[in-house]
Amino acid sequence: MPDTRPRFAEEPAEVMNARDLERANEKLGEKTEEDLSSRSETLDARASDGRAPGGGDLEKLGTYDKREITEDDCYDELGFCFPAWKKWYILSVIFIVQVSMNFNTSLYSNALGGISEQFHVSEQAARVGAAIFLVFYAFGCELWAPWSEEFGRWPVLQLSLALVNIWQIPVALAPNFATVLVCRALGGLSSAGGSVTLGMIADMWEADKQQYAVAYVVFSSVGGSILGPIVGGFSEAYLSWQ
Amino acid sequence: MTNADGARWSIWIQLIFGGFVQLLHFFTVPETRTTIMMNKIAKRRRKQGNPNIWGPDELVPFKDRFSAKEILVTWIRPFKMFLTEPIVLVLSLLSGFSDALIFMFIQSFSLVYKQWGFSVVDVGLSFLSIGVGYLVAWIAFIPAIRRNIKERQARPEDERAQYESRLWFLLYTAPCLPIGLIGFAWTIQGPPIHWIGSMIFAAIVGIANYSIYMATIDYMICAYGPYSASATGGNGWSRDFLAGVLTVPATPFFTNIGKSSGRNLEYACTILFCISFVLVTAVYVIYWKGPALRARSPFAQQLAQAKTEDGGRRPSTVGNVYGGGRRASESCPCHKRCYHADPSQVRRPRRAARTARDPKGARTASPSASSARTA
Repeated sequence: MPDTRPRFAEEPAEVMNARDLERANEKLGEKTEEDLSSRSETLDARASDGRAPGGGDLEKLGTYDKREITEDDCYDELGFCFPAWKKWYILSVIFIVQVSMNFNTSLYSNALGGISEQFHVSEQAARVGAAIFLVFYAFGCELWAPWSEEFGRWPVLQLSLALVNIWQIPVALAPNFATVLVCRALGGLSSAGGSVTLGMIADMWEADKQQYAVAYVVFSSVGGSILGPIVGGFSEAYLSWQ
Repeated sequence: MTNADGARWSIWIQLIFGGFVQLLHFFTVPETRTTIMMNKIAKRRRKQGNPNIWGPDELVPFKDRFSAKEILVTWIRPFKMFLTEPIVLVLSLLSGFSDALIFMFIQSFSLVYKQWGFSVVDVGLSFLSIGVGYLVAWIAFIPAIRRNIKERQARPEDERAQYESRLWFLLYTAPCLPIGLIGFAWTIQGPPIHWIGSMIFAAIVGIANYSIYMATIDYMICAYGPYSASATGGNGWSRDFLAGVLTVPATPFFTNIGKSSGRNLEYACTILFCISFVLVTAVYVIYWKGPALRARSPFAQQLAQAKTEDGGRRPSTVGNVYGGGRRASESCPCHKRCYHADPSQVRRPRRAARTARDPKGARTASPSASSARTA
């Protein structure tokens, strides 16, 4: 014979822990059938305001229930429900962040002549500074991404940008070529590029609706790399005047 | 020391740009990460008189959520997928090769265009041709995306329409890579051929580079669901790594092959054409064999399983606004596609597993609750 005792729900763990549920079912089992409808209302009310109007014996139940908020509970407050202008503004800043990261990879190539002259190394050796940045950048993106999911995108991206900027200074002031290489490598490793920016798209667009946003960020990623040599041509030609 | 000053300036320019970007991000971009926002929302709701609402990170202490082992697993997964997933491997190699080409161009454009007597500034501006290619590809993708969305809505039960259709536009733009390279190879002899010829072919290479990156990550995001961060991570890694590794040999490659004939640039580009020709065929193979390849993949398979449990619905036909993101949160303790999910852990109901705690504050009644976060 099936269990005919009244129950609150098929999936008890959603709103209360197992012990509380057993206690509640015990008490309910003693009651008569007509109490049932008011009981289920009581449960609904309890879930929303933590009290049980009209259900004196149940008032204590749920006091200790810590309930984890779900995406469904607060969907309209999450990134997915930002107004379109806000999403695209955030994405535009990310666009510029991505451009600057890829710009850093390629602009160095216009410094090759100067670096080889200053440190008395061949241009081919000076290219190692460009290569090492890219290789470490490749690993850097991977290393940063999981942390951005644990601590949030904002602090991780701020830390990454700060470190990238700090490592530029010793490259510019380097007394020898080894310093240039080491600080270029550290700069590359500090760059939280493509993976964190794609993660931010996933924060604001459902996987099924994000193609336009991906197309936008991809443009910044490939565009940043060619902005380097364009700006570099001018800096090489006009900023060597001292 | 004039060149050295120029070199230093190029570093200062990076720093100025980087500093500007950091300030802009600091002041105007809010946190977007779903779990972090949920913690804040839960805190606010508790203040508003709802003492039982807790955020996803508040119920489990940090050390339980994030172990050294888990960190290692998430770091290794992109490389594991790169090596064990044929889709990730060949598409990433294609994507990496096309990006490395651009970085090889950065090293070699001055060799090419000095034949026309280009100045340093002129050589820099010649990269605008690739930029035009990127722009054309981006604009061309917008109607292609619109078409793709319609196709997915129209044929919800057709597997190719749901997945491989995202590579459809690439079927037409990927050949731009070999076409652009072979055209570039044989228009760079210098005068009397006009330089605009080679720039048009460079733009065609740009179209291919943009399209390949866009379409391959779009397809991987769809095919790998919760593991897509690792799959696209492998793609991005391949791009930067190959670009870095090929930066150093680029100049000898362009100057030394067939030097005695004086056709070294042409031969070098022809070799690149041959490599690109082989890699581009991968797009067609994956377009046709994609369903079979995904069926054999433990990473892609778990996504399919989650869909079956959902009554066989495809993401585009799920009627509510939560779409694909919700499914990702069911197969992994995180709330979006992320680095946490592990294909060996097939677990379904987050709700049953990790909600309540008992009054004394001990960990939950359900033994699976702790594994849900730390697995």
